[in-house]
Amino acid sequence: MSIFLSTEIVVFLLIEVILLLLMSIAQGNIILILRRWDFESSTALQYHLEKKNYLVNTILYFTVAVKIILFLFFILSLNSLAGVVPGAMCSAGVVGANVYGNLVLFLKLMLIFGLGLWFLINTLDLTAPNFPHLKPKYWLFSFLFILLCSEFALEIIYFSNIPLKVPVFCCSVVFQSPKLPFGYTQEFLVVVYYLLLVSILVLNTLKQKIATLLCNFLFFFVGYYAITYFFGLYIYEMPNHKCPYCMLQKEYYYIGYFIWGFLFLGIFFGMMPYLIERITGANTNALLKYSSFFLVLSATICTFYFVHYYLLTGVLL
Amino acid sequence: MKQMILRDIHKIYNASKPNAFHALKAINIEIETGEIVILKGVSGSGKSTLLSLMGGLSKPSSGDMIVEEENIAKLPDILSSRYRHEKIGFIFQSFNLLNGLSVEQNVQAPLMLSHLSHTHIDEKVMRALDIANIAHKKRQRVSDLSGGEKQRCAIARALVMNPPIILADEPTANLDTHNSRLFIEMLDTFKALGKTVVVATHDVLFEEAKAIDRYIHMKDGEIIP
Amino acid sequence: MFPKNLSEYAIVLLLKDKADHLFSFLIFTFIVTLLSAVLFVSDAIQSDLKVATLFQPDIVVENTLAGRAYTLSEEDKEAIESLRGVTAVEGAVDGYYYFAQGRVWFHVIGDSSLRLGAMRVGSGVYTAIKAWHYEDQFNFFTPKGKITLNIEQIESKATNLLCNDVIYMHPANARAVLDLGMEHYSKLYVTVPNPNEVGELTLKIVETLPYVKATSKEEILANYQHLFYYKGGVFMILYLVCMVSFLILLKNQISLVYGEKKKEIAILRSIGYGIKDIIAIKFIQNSTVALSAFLSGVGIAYLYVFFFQAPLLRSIFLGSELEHSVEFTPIMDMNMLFLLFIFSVIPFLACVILPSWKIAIADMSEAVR
Repeated sequence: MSIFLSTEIVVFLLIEVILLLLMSIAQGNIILILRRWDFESSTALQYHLEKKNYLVNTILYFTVAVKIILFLFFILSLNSLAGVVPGAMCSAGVVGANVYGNLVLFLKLMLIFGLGLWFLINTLDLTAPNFPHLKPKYWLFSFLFILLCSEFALEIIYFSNIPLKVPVFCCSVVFQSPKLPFGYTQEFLVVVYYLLLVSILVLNTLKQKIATLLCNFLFFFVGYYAITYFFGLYIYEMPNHKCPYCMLQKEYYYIGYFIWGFLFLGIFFGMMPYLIERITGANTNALLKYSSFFLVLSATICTFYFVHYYLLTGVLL
Repeated sequence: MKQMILRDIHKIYNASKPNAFHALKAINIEIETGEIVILKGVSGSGKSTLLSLMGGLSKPSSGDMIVEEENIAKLPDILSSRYRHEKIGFIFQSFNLLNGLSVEQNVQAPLMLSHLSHTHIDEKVMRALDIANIAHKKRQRVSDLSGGEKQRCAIARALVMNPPIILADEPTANLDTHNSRLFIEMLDTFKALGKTVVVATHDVLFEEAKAIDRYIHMKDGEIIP
Repeated sequence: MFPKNLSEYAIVLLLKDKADHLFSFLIFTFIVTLLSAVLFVSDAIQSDLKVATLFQPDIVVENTLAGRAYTLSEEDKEAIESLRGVTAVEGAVDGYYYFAQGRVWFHVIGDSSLRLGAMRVGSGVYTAIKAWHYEDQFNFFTPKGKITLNIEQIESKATNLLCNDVIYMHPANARAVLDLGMEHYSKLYVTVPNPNEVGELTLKIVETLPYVKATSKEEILANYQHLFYYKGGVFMILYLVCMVSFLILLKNQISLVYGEKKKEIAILRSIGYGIKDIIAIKFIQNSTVALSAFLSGVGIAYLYVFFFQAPLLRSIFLGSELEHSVEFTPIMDMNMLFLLFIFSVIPFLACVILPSWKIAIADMSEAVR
């Protein structure tokens, strides 16, 4: 049996193909627009381009929204594939089935961030009737388009290389300590996590855009390791269960979606203001407060599990 | 105060093709606020074309159109639709109502682009229906109305956003004499409301109207002085 | 996201043109019904399987030589018991009996909870033998003579698929029916409490007894899943049917862009509706049609599969005649609805983007003359 006959994968790839087709149509028009757009001129060509611009905008609104939904669907599908791929007990086994799995996941996350950035710039662009940020917006999308095509190619390679007869590793093998980078210990990791979080909160309040961008980017990795190698243990209540995916399952009340979701939202809003200002010159410092809000939310949930377990058992894992 | 200024307006259809047609040539007009103007001329003289330019339905090939200090000749769609929405009330020759909907639903149409509450919308609709004298038929389907009633529904729709300018294209062409006279009486109401009105027509009945301030004669796309 | 008043008006306009959108609505409902029914059936079967295999032993050992099934001896049982990590080995009497009159195979399993002379049959078995006037008893014909057993219990229809063609009887009776000696077993069920060791022990068993086949519980479950996935060929055909229907739908959507519709959009544009307002209206209308068709399609499929037990479709999935008396247990979860939604509504909306845009940018000045 081929993995491609799994219903979820068929649906997923079908929608990806449809989205790519739509985005290619948009991209074709974008190239034309980038070359000849001149808002001040009132030639027939400019009116024509304005009409094409509506098509591009509609397509991109639609595809960005669907891409985000599809990302969620992808995560869910990985979970259900765990039943078919031998040896996999949750998404960790499916993602780790071959070397492309983590690459696909990372690229997808980066693209969601990139498309989110595009979406924010687009919202700004549409507030004024003369499309002030049109060109940078479309240059950004052209770059994202190349990444989107690569993502699709990578997905195909990843799926075709998932073994169906040979067992894959599950999280107990993949996430064994001491896989922490640089050989750091758990205690050090947790300290860094909280320190970095407080720094980000301070920087957000002081509206230090560049500094918070860098700290948030760092927090992406620190947060990942902290949640997988430390907080996760208190969610699963087991000293060796180090898995970022299992907390997405029903047994743990889907808390993973909230922890990871809030974390990524917080990082996203922390990174955007500087990037938006670089690209369009517009000030969006207000987003920083969303960053603080979501990061605090994610950290609160994690801390709760840790404190709750300690209070109940008096023991640290 | 000058509400509408047209400077050197040209409109050419199929510009670069062998069958190019110069519909409007060097049109220069100035219209004061509150003025009621009649564009007179036989069919083909360009008066409907001129009216559609004034209404923002199409763009001139060259020239400027300044309405309330905004040059509408070169607007992008988002601004030109805002212009049509807020500044113009257009009454078409064939009424252009949405069949299958009631009078009330037709008159509501422009208001549905706004963020007003239902109560507010109903108030404005009722006011427009009263002025146009069609309130008693508000629930009726427009396809069941007579010619004169459809005309009054179109008038109500044109008035509902309270635009400063009313444009009417051959408003009496599809009406009998009685209803035509009723429309001409409407001009008094428009004047009382302070509207600027431009009517394109070749109906001689309009010569009886006292509310008219000025006639502009057109022939072959040009204004005849 | 969409302004309230505009959305309301979009629906008013939609209801005005019910007939035009009806065709799209019906085709889309058909697509969703077909897809949902297939997914419901396959999911119901899979969940039944999962429940059934929960009670399977950790490792099943069988003797296969040249591809044929042979028996296992007492020595084999002891050899496996001596392996570390194995807490218990149970010998099973398990085989197939051919019911000549009905031309059908019964799966005979030894169950020591039953007393001698009694048997418990699956509902499919009972239906088959009742047709030959066996009501309370059944005769098994073996080379050593006739064996008569009493039917004490019949499995209800609602139990899972795997029990349907099964007869449970006392192991001594089973041995007689299957002509199996006292010191021999058809299969050995091995209990391994630590799930991490199952894989290793499976390999060790085969090393110790080179002529046997050892299958772990996980492999059995995966095999069953694969069995139903091989019907993937059928899925492909169904998807193709859906593709074709979608193309018909697309064509219909495009035709909605001409004629009367064009004039109507021109009228709206002339009174102040911008291009983006028209696109928004079209999108709202199509989303409404899509969502209502989606809900109808899912509802119809649910009734078709779980109340009417999916006539026609069930034979594609279940195959053998006995399996026909199985009931589908109603199951529907959020994941599945999400999947259906993505599979149907998103391509539908993707199809309407271009036609909606085309109609919104059409030149209005000629249309309103």
